[in-house]
Amino acid sequence: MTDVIVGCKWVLDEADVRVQADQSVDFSLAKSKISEYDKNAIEAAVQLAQQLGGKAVGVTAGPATAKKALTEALTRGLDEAVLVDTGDAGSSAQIAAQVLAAEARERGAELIVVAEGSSDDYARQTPSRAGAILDWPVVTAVSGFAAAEGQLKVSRAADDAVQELTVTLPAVISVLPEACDAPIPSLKAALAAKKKPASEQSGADLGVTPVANATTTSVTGYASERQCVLVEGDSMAEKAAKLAAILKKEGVL
Amino acid sequence: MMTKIHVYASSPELAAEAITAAAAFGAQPALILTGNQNPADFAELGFSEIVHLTGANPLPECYAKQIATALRADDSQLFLVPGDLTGRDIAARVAGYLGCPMVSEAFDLAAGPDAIQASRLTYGGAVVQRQQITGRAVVSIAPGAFEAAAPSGAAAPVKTIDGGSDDRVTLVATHPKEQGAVDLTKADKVVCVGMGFSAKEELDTAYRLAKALGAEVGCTRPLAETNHWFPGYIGISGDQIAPKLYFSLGVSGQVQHTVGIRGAKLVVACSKDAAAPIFQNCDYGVVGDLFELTEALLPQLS
Ligand SMILES: Cc1cc2nc3c(=O)[nH]c(=O)nc-3n(C[C@H](O)[C@H](O)[C@H](O)COP(=O)(O)OP(=O)(O)OC[C@H]3O[C@@H](n4cnc5c(N)ncnc54)[C@H](O)[C@@H]3O)c2cc1C
Repeated sequence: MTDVIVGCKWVLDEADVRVQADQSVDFSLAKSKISEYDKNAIEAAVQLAQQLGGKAVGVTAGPATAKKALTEALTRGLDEAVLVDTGDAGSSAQIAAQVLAAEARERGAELIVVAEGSSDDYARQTPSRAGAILDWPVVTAVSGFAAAEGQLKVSRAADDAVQELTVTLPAVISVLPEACDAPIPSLKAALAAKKKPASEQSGADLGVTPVANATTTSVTGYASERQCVLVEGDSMAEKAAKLAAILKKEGVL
Repeated sequence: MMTKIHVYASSPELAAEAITAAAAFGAQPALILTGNQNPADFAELGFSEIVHLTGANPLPECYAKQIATALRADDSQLFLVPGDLTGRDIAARVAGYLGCPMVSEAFDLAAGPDAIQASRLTYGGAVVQRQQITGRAVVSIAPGAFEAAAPSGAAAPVKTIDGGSDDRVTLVATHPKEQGAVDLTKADKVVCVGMGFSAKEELDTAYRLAKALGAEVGCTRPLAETNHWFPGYIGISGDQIAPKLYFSLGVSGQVQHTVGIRGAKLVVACSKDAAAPIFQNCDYGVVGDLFELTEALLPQLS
């Protein structure tokens, strides 16, 4: 019996990021959301906690405003959620890994689950770093899983093969979105979530140290230089004829 | 800056890319290999030395702690790793053991007087972030960002270290991925299919268009990962392609996908949703049903 810790990152929606003509980036209109693939990781953690007979605990690292993540995370079936307030230290992989490791240690949990990567940074470092901090084994890119006595049996989508692995607990895994679907929470689940424990802790108290020696020196947007011409016509036949002429003119036929 | 650099690479091809990436630092890197990798396969690529962490475990990831120990012992300042799945995992674990910063999937790398500068993509590819690291650093390099260096021809000396025996992860079986997949990164023309296709049989439409155009067929991530219709896909977590023509059918064009087609010369797209982001990211767009368009277009192409 062990609890399962799952990372829930509160990120700006990449679809709201506006790139200006001078390639500067405008984040001011961007709404926040739970990182896309974390929804699948939460579902994986819920299933694994059931199999292991423990609780599934969502952990969000970030500033106080990230607390909103907890409500949504709880509607997705977690038993408990905690915000670790890291203030200005942010929620990069180097910070998130420390936070997840510290929570696992404090709660005596033997399994950390994270998503393949976050929809903002997509650095894909968190599981490996958390494993290193705790000196636990790590399996990334998990596409299927089942918990057995003291261990997990997992499938891993490796570079040129699918591997079947067993990993002893305690361990860290990162799951691909196809490992399990993330169902849309029901209204009932949303109501039940309100009664579940959501707490807050300070990163400093947990011993989280800010990233030293690394700075972001610039952030620029990618501006598409494509022509964006819509091929118009009264019928599909007309559009197709125009498109065929274009393909010919562009020399790709 | 003279920097002591170590590289891990899961194949000789990737190791040769790391040699090119390391050139910016003016130092000849050393190479770390693990378990059942054969130093002879890497001997003449141009490394100063090969450090082989030996052990029975076939999983390179299980040697990460020993790699970190070896780097510390050698006072290595930069650990450079071509970022396939294995490399990325090893790199991040080593960064965790060393407690140092890491840049993931750098596509650009430069040495400053006492710092490393690296650029990477964030927000699905919409944003380029430039980072600077002083002191010890780990960098994984983006696939295809650096050309493979020509072999030096000189055989590197090999040092053997006991890699320990971390057997907490055991490999039970390996199922090779479907072979015969085309290398889209080398394709001249690509027809890309997306979730506009709701049944596998419908792909026939795409294959007929591809045949008429002389193109290969690729797909978006959900068709590969959720539907398992293709072994690979195009985008930030898949292949980055640079064909003369990219022609999409039923693709919405989310940034994570379109970052993979930035190298394409001409982008043509068909989606029935006029508001789909692909229309802000193509050269020519057709709003409408992909099956109707293809049937109308095919006779014009023969
Ligand atoms: C961290 C992360 C990494 C990701 N990496 C990648 C990646 O590398 N590659 C990738 O592709 N995706 C990636 N994604 C997913 C990406 O965000 C999109 O979800 C995905 O690309 C959408 O695929 P699609 O365009 O096929 O499907 P959809 O977005 O569902 O679009 C289908 C389109 O087809 C149109 N359509 C439907 N029927 C028809 C018809 N009959 N005729 C014409 N048009 C029709 C629809 O209007 C729509 O525009 C990633 C996501 C995240 C969060």
